[in-house]
Amino acid sequence: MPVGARLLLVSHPEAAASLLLRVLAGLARAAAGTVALAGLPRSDDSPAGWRRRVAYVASASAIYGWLSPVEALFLAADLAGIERPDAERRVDEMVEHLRLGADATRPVSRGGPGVLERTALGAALLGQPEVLLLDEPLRALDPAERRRLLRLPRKRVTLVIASRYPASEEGIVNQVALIRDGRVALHAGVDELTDAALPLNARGIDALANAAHAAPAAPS
Amino acid sequence: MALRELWISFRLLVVLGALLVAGLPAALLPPVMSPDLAGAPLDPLGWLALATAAAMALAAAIAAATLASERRRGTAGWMAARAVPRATIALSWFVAFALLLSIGLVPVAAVAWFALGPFLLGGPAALVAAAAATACVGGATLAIGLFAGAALPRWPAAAVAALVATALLVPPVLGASAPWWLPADGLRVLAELDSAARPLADSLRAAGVALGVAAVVLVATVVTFERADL
Repeated sequence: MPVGARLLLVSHPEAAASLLLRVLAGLARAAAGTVALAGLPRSDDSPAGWRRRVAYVASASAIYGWLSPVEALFLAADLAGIERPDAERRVDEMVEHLRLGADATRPVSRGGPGVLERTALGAALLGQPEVLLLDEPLRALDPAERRRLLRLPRKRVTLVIASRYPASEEGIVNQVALIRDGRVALHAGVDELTDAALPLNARGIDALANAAHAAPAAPS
Repeated sequence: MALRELWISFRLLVVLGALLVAGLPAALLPPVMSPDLAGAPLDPLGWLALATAAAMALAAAIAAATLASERRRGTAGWMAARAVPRATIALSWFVAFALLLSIGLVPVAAVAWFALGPFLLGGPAALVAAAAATACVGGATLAIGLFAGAALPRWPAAAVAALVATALLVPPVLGASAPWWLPADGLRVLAELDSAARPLADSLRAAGVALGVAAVVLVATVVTFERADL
């Protein structure tokens, strides 16, 4: 994948895409093979290694409920090694970008719907990662607000979204990949779906993958 | 973070409360057993050691459930995904629980001193040494609890930790002999503080064994936690 790509990851079975992101994030172990992300092997755990350059947001984001979004963002900044004056500026900007309002200083568990997910996304973006892995992100938000937040401000962020609802990622992603039976069955641009008059949904992605496999090999 | 989570989830109060309750036998039972109780298996120090063992088993179970919960609900994963080493996550929980245990043992020792001081051989130094050895035993049981929490789901981890801790800690208090490399001797020293010939030496040895066991089990915990899915 090129730097700055926005990839939609779909899989059969559905859990495979989430599991792949968890392996990439270092939260699950691969049974075999090697993983490299952002040009670094996954085993490089140095502070400058891939963990500081890759951010992961789980579908059920697990921030302690007694933390307020501001506290969680400051904690994320501290863990990312951001100096305090810079952290204050970034947290202020992120609170405004996330539109947390009065929920910013209340415990996350007492915030309105979507506060936890916004905070999790903000905590991931605070460290300005090069690669952002999102597993079914921001489902509690309305579609328009979700699209606004997922149109990331930095152009150099490579985005991978695992989603069971491909249609909801329209306008956010420019590439799509299908994992089927443990293998990459398709990796194509979204425009290829459009050119083939296929919708950005599970059926359309399956159809494009089947067509790619059925196409005869070009003569040498 | 760990201490704040323990406070907000009330687990801190449960652990401290259990330790404070453990000090009650020393305060409530008569220091000199009456003839009616001549056949009783334990004297006040013995009951104190037994109650402390029970509190430590409870603390081990809570530690096991805590680490397993951190894995299940993803808070450990949230930290790990932010370049916090997994060893740091596991060891920080050990430090938090060990601190709690150590603080909780101070009033236990104080109650034992005020209630039973004149009957203790070796004076306050022996009691402090026995209390320190008991704290080291607590550290070993916490390590066992965290190992269970790194390997098992929440409730099985808590059950296994409680059972193993009870099996390790109770028999020496009741007078059963145990291999020297098991970590429970500190409680035996506490239980026999009114008749021990060399309380300081025995406490030092018991503390060393318990710390050694704690170190080995903590290494196993870290290795297991490194390999666990978060």
